[in-house]
Amino acid sequence: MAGLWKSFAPETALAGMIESELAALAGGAEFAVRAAGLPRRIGRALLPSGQMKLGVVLLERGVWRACDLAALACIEVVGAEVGMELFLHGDRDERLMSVRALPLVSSQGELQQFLRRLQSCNDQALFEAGFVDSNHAARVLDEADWNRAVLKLAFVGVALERITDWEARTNPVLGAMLADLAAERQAAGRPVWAGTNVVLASLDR
Amino acid sequence: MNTIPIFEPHAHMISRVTDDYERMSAAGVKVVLEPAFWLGQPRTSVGSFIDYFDTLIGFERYRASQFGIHHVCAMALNPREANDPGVRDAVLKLLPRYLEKGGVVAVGELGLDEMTSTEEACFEVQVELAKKHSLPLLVHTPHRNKRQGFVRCFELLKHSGFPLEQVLLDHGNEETIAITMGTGVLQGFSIYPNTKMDPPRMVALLKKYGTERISINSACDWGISDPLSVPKTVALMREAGFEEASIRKLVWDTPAEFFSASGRVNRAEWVCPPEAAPFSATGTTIARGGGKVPGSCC
Repeated sequence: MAGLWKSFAPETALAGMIESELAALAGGAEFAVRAAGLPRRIGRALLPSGQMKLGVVLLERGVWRACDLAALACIEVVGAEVGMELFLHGDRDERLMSVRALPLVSSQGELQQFLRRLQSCNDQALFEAGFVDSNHAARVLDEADWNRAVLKLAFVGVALERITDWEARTNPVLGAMLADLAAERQAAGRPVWAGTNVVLASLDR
Repeated sequence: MNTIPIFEPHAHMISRVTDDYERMSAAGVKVVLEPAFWLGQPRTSVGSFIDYFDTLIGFERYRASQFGIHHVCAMALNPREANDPGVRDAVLKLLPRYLEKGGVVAVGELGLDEMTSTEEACFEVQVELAKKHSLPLLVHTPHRNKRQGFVRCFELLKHSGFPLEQVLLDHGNEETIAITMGTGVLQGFSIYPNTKMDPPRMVALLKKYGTERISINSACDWGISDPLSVPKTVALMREAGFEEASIRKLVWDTPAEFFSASGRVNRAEWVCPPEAAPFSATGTTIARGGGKVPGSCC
């Protein structure tokens, strides 16, 4: 569905800049080359906050940057495969743009694979961008992948409330994994993830 | 204690360990520029270059940020591998994409090594790329037959019409400065423990020629090299009585101005630590080894 980016209701000036980018692509510009310049041309200002529903997708608009939205508009045109190249061969800005945009233009299978790849990412900002502030993980990951993702989010200390639909996806195996992590942290004299007891309590209900 | 910010304009950090970053940060290094070069042995496929370039713009920058250091880079086909027809053309074809990246602030290291006609052809192609992408040049000069190599690099640059003030001609010594002084190029000197320049010789050269249009670097890599050679030279300059303003010009003002001229980066941000890699309050983190970002200056 081309034009998805307009659902974010960008202000007029931003929409105009995005239209210019699309015109450049239509004129034959190569997205792989132009993408790196999007943050310089469009900017990194955050969009107004607010939860959005796009079909089955739930996301927080306020974590998106103007250049992320421009990347979404472009990737809608050039396709998810080219967008994936941006993730594989981009700098941090480009990779963040692709993490925001790709889930909206990918099939469920593609998104599962993408999130699996992202899970191994060592840059926590990129990892978080894919796994919190949206329901992407909750809606496509199977239980084993979901549990691994939440365990990593707990491991790095991401607040539970940023994990969309966590309660609906909580399960006894995840509870055991989090309890093990808590025991390990306690044994090491380190703080336990604040979400641990909340998740475990939800399993008791 | 060194209070002058240091811009390290030539360091192959991919070959260094985190201890180096930690020591560089403690010594006042705020920015490192990592030029693309070879990896100690020839690459056998273009895929190795792609992964290397991706590391320079990705993980290496992230790694530096964990120690409060900004990491920028220069991209090029290096002169050694310019001689390899198995990778040469494919790498040149890749470059336009990488030369648009946000943290890429120069084309480099291009240059001459064995001074072959192929190296010269690749040199010329990449000078044109620098013009097209509005980037300065970081030019590698030969380690053998250096004087002649400098002369030839200079001839190629003049023939290309590239603005000489946007060229850092690197790895100079006491002989080559006679060729470059007064030409407008930024004259680079690499300070090594055993080869190239060393701190006492560098200080002697600076006493003779001053600090105008001169830049010093460690060129640290996988060999016997010292990532602290710039701060060590700064210490020796102080002992020799150089004024702080003169030292600052050498290790901060000149390289910062040169590499921010492209407009790709905001020079004012360089004196503050980069956006810190997020660390959890638990002391464990997916950032390998954990740790903390050194104290902020802002």
